Amino acid sequence: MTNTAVEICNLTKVFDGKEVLRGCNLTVQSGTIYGLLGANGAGKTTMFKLITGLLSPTAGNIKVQGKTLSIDKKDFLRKMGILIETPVFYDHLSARENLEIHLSYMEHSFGKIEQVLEMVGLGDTGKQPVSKFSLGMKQRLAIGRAISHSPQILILDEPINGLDPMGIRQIRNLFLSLAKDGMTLLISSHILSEIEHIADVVGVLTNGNVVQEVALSEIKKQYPNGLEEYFFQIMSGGAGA
Amino acid sequence: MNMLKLELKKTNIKPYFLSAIAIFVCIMGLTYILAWVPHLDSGDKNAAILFSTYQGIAAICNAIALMSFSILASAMGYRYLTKEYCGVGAILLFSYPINRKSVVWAKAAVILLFISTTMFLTEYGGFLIFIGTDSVLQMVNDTLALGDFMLAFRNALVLVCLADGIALCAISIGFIKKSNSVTIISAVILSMLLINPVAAINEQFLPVLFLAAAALTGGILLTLNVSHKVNRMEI
Repeated sequence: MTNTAVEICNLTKVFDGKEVLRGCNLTVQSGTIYGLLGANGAGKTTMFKLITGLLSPTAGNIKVQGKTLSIDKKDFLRKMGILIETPVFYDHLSARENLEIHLSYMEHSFGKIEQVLEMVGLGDTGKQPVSKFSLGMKQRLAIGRAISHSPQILILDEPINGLDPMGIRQIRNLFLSLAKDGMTLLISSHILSEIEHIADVVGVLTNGNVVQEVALSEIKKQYPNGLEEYFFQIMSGGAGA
Repeated sequence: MNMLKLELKKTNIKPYFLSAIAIFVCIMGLTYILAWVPHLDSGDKNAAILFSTYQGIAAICNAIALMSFSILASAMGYRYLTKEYCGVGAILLFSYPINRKSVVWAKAAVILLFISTTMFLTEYGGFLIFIGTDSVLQMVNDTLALGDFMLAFRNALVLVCLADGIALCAISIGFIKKSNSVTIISAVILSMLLINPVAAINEQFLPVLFLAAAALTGGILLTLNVSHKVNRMEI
């Protein structure tokens, strides 16, 4: 049993001759929350798509729980909960029905649906179709869908988009409790304060490469103003970048 | 089968069901209008002869139904195949540990199942309703034989296969071009090319049967190509 949930070695992705990721290395330990930071267009979403098999790498390899990821073998997807880009739902169906469809594809029982809806604050939506949901409610449902099949690894791209302050706090606590229960979370966000609240390790992606992977506790020791100061120093070429 | 059930659950069939009902109503209306033509003093003897038999009326209505249902199927195909795979919906579909090709076939099967059922009901069911009402109204000066029922049944089945073939071809062309208008226009052009032989199905059954088989085979081959594309797709 490996302690590494995701391991990326020399990962390169080229789109139309442009290197979006070049020789990227990244390691996410099991049971931790890894915050992936980077400017717009840095390649965070591309990285997540590669980890989830939505894209295939130009070079390098990705290991999920010690096994090299192969796009032909899709079983690894059962271990992952995914939220990438704008979440899509079957709008004419209710939150519960959407989760039922998801769980059917994942070949997972429907037993925890009510519990999951409660966890993301959608327990009272009943038969209301998703088309009537607000942006924040859809985001909550997307998070609920990602965790509904009890995955071992959660891949979340900007998970707090559209959430109100109450929602952000609720989802933050949910992430912390999932990590406490042993789930591994890989999260990208533009909101540095959010990552600062929950992450154990932070990686900064710039110029197509993860320039540093540092424990958040170390950052807090070295930078009195916290993650924001560290991030801007990295972006300006400092802090060992 | 499980995949098919899931696709049926996911698909919002209501707007297409309403469209199918609208087509049925229009075709029924057209049937009664055509049946009334020989009673008009229009001087058009050909029309009067053509529309004085049940099979003559049914052939024209079937041709219109073929075109309408082919277009409806292609619109449905664009919504449930092209749009899902060419938009953000693909991320959701590709995040499941399932064979991508079988999802494409399940989607195509749902579309064909819906179109085949509604088109058959419109053509054969409409024919039976018209026969029933005509026994009271006596608009058509024709004697009804058991063979007429068999003929209408056979024609409806063949035309359903033809519509399925046209729909699969149009959806596949639209998928390659990733365009709703290309999908619909392909369905219109293909059905327009076939509308004349279809209208003469009673006289030229074998050529129409051949066309139906060719369209269905072409449609299946093109859908196979689409499923390969989806399998290799990166998003």
